[in-house]
Amino acid sequence: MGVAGARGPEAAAPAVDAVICRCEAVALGALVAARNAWAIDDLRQLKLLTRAGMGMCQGRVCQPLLESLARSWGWDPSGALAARPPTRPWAMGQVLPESSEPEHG
Amino acid sequence: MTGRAPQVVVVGAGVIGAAVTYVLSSAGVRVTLVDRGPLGGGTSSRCDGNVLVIDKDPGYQAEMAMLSQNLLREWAGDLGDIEYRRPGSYLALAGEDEEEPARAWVDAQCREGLAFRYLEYEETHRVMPDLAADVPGSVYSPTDSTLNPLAYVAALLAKSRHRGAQVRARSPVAEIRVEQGRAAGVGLADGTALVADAVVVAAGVWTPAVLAPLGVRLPIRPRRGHLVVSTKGPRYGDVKVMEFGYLMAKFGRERVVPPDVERFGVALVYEPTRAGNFVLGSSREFAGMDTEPDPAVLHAIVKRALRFYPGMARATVLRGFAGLRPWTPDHVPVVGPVPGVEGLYVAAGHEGDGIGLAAVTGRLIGDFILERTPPLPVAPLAVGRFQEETAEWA
Ligand SMILES: Cc1cc2nc3c(=O)[nH]c(=O)nc-3n(C[C@H](O)[C@H](O)[C@H](O)COP(=O)(O)OP(=O)(O)OC[C@H]3O[C@@H](n4cnc5c(N)ncnc54)[C@H](O)[C@@H]3O)c2cc1C
Ligand code: FES
Repeated sequence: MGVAGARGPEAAAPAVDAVICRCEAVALGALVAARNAWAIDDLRQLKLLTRAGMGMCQGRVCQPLLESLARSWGWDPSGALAARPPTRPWAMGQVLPESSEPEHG
Repeated sequence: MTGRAPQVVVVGAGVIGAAVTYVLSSAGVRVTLVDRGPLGGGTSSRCDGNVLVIDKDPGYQAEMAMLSQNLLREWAGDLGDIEYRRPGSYLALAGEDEEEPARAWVDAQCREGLAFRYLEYEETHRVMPDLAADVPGSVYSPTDSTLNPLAYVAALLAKSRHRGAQVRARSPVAEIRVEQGRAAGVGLADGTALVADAVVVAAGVWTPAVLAPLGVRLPIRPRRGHLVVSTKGPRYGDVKVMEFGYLMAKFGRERVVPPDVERFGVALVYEPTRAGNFVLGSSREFAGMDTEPDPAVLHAIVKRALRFYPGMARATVLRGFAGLRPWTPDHVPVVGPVPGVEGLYVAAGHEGDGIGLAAVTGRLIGDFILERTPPLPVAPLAVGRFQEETAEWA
């Protein structure tokens, strides 16, 4: 699907409506438009401005697509999509208001 | 500097450098903005987007914040979609002991001409039905607004480029060049020299490091703050809510809070976002330059949120992050010329208010460089006001 099949610039260009980030429903066209409108040249910026990679799966699904897209634009994607703690979604109810010492982890 | 359009180099492409560049390029000044990293990659993309008056000291700080809010309203039309909205903001009280200082706060702001209101129990819970039933009241500021900070930076830069500004990412400034007591430009790490009539240092928490080689010392320190982001799902009201408690220190009163809330300087911030989730804050600590999120701080923020919003026990947290506020000893930013070096300016030290104060800061630097009359007194912002603090540090 979409950029997944693209190995490099020579591969067939994916369609603009190909969904790159499913959690946030961001299509390739939206990423290109944001890049052009704001002259973005960095994957972390692109992520923060389009929300691609910021959804429920924390980029686990779309990270390879976003990184290969970034590389095809000549960007160095390293570190841009690094997972943020807590690494798994965390139910707020698990933290009891009266528990005085937080567990470290 | 009269006769021809001046050439200005701005160091640092955070919200402050971007606003300075926007004002100058809109006035026809030739500007080159340089950042050592990606644009907006510093504190301005590790923060929230509140543009507040509600938490400012009555008087000078509130006036400065109001000026910035008004400027931002003018700019918003030019900048396109930066998720700018003006929902107002609320300060919720944690207990009855806060009622009297909260009413005093409202009175002081009203005497300065601001439209603050104290909301009694009924009205508080009508506007914020998800608040814990024991919250006795709240403070309301109608003009407070919010935006997406990185979109703000990106839009300021896009407009500036359009007006002729040069913007260079990944170009660390290695030195500020001074000739015969005048700023002459900057030298980049790759050896490139950029010639200028004026240099503006807007490097956030890195400003002291940029200025140190010139013997200019500024007591700007990184005050780390964490934020927590929820998944999309239930929200707990459409309005931005903070707790009154973190203003209590200004009244010289102790806060009665759990130890980790005290230790990490945690105070509730609840903000619903346009994307359908919500952001929780906040913390305040001096912990060096480390921005790796600390799980203990995230826990303390969540715990504090549950004290005000018990229903959040059903919500899910997705991620946390941390940024470095450029703190100053008097909580007022440093905006103005550097004594002894003509043409060198500083615009930094906005602590937790840089997004909100960017517009007025850009305006002031523009006024200094173009020799226009500033819209408010500039002495409280002066570079040279920290003699004692810097002597201590030296
Ligand atoms: C958790 C948190 C929440 C916040 N919430 C709010 C809020 O709701 N509202 C609000 O108004 N404020 C808020 N703030 C504060 C706000 O984020 C800051 O005041 C503001 O971002 C500072 O902007 P700046 O441009 O001064 O610094 P930065 O954005 O850090 O920009 C400085 C730039 O200088 C560059 N630089 C450094 N050294 C060099 C060099 N040698 N050469 C070239 N470039 C260099 C850096 O790369 C960086 O991009 C918050 C802060 C935090 C941490
Ligand atoms: S697919 Fe992009 S965040 Fe889940």
